[in-house]
Amino acid sequence: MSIASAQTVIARGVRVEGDFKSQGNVTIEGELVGSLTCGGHLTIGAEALIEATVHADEATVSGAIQGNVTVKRRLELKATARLKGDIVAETTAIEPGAAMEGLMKIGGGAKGVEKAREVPAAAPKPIPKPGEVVINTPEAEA
Amino acid sequence: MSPTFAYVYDAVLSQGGAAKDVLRIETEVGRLGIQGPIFREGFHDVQGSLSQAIKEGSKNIVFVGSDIWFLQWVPWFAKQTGISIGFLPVEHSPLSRALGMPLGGAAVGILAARVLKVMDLGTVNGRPFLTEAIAPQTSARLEFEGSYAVRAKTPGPLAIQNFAIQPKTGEVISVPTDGQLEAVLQTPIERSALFGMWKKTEIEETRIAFTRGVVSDAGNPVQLLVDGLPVTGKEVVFDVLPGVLPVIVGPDRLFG
Repeated sequence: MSIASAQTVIARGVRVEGDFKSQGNVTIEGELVGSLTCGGHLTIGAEALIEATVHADEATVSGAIQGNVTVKRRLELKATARLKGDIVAETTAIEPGAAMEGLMKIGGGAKGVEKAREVPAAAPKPIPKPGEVVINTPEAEA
Repeated sequence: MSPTFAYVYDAVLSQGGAAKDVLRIETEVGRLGIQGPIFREGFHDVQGSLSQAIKEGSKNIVFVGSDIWFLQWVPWFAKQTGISIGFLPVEHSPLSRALGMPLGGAAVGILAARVLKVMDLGTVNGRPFLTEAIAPQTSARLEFEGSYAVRAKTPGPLAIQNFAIQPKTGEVISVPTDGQLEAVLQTPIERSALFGMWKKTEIEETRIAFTRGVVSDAGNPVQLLVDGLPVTGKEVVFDVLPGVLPVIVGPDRLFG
């Protein structure tokens, strides 16, 4: 469940585990393991340790993230940022000293950001005619 | 007499020192035409009398007394429908300031104006509360919305807030009309420099908004003060009841 929040803060010395969601702005200075979804501005502090898939509207990263990061609008990587994973964002600003290891996909509009993360839809299954029996086997699927 | 107002007096008002304050209040109530039946704790079966007064048409129940006493009535408020609650404080307190209610006779005009704010209530293991639940020192695990858990590495104070007021500044730090509760966890973090010769402990504050949370401590009892009263449990479940309590407020209240 997503929660509307003006400002959520996870301070140093605190660990979060699981699927964390917030519709507002989020600041993380502690640790987070799992997944992170932020509907507002996400700020990752210099001492933060994130092992998660990250989705945010906007983000400013100064700490360490291990996981794929998807940002709908602007992603800013500060000099102390350390990213290990793929990045998808509309625009980025990267300070000298920021480190990342992974693929980057930047630009393409909002649709480009969504498309970069799209999972191809399965082919529609035919509707059986009256009296017809459809057997779903791996061979039939292929 | 206005049949729509009824008054409940804290037992302390029966003591000699409060007589002048009570007289001022009752004079002002009469002047503004909002008299109603008065029920005194210690002299009446107050809950039974209030139920009867509500059946007979009372729409506004005004509690005259201290904020600690007023908060003890919250579980009763939560069960009522179709009535609004007023609080007429007899001493300055963070709660009376946040509601915009001055002392004594000056508050009667605000009651008569009957400006309402519909507030949220929190519940702790099903028991309603208005302000906050506090554990002074805990290493409890907090689970939110059934999807993520939070734990501090070192013990510290925990507060689950619905309507919280900063005592020193009077600032409302948790708004009672936002449809959610806030968990505030303070964690001491030690900083050192000069090869450990200089040390300083800083308090870091974690703040999370939620609608359902569970507090547990590896099977140990979790002890909390909720609206000033103790609550203990191995697992303590918090929920929010959004927009359930209409309260009469003053124009100088500290929230929207």
